[in-house]
Amino acid sequence: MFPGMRKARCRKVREMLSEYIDNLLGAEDRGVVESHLEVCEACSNELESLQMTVQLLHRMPSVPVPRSFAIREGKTDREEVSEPRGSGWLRPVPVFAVSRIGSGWASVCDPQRLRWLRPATAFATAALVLLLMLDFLQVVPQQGGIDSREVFNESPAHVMLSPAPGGEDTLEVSGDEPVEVLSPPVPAPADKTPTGGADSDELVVRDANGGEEEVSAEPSGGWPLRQIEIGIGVVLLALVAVMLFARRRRRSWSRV
Amino acid sequence: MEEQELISRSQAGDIEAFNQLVERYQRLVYNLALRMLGNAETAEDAAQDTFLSAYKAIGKFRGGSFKAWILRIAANVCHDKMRAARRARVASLDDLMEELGDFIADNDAESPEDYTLRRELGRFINEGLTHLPEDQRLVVILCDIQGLSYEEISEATNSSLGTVKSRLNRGRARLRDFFLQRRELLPAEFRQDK
Repeated sequence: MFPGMRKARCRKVREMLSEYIDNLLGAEDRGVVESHLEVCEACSNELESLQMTVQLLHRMPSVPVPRSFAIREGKTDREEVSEPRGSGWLRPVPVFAVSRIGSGWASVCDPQRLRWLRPATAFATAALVLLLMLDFLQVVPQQGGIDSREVFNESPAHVMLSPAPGGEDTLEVSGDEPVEVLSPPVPAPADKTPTGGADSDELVVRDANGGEEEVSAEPSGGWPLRQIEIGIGVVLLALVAVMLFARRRRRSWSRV
Repeated sequence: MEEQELISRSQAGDIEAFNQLVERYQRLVYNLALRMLGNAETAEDAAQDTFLSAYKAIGKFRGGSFKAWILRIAANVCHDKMRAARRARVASLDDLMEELGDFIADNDAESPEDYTLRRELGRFINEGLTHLPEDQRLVVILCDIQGLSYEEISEATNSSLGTVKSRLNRGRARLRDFFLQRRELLPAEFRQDK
């Protein structure tokens, strides 16, 4: 027989060896395998080693269960049971897995159930960085009404508050132009519909020439960037804390 | 009670009937999880998850082999657990091996020496199993340890008969290579020099 043909025959026989060991080959294939084994020492050795492997595996005994896995009545609602193939990031924790002493935290810290943590943290970080950049570049108009740049650029001196003879507080700007800050306006009478004067925190600023200007301290319709930044920062810290806690828990339980 | 009747009653919401099915199959499911996952605690979780999931899905069971059906759920649960462990790298291989030797049944009649040998052999075989790809490991365990037929394995793994044969063939060959590379660890009767 040519070496190539012999090799092909060996390959074909070796593919059938598992079925031959399990006694599942038909009479014809069985005859083919046995006649080849008589003349091929390599395939014969292959068969012997595979038989040894199967015999070793057969020696593995069945281990008794450590406890009953019966479902307890009243404890398990069909709706509470987790899906085996479920891969949702909010996959419910099985009732028994949590309640069982010794593996409760291990189940809660199951990485599959907490796998939303990493993308959520990444998202929060990216959002925070973006907001900080927007804030720094001042691309988005901010809430708050008074543009600090305008106030401080146009009134570059320090401001002193001193009591005025009439009982009103007077803001004095060091320099040429003293500016009076009047008390908040008197609330509008009940029969009048307030148009913002009574409800809004408005300051009336009068300059030295007697001209008045109302400055609203109410949100001016811009983005509350600072509040959003603080909010996302807090969420980010919480996510990192949960992630670190879960990691520590997983490590400690894996050593049990 | 006949299995079919237990299944029908379970489908009607009889939890006691379902628990009788659990009693029949829990050892099979637990052992599969144990060999697949290589960790007793995770195997326990997997077995419990399997029966919880089976209880939820029993209404969808449309006949055939209940054994194959429950093993398919168990295999899916094990797959999920392994994927989760791989992502989190919960246990290193060394941690895993620490426990593998314990996965052998107790036998009060044997001597301490025999027990030690058997324990070492169990550890060795389990180590070999963990070196197989997941699909081959599942088929080898179901066939050579659990004793399922090719048809039952085909149903339990939701794959064709040809795929089962091929995976079994490759799995056994790979395991054989693992054993032969560590021939000195084999029991004396298997330690023939070739």
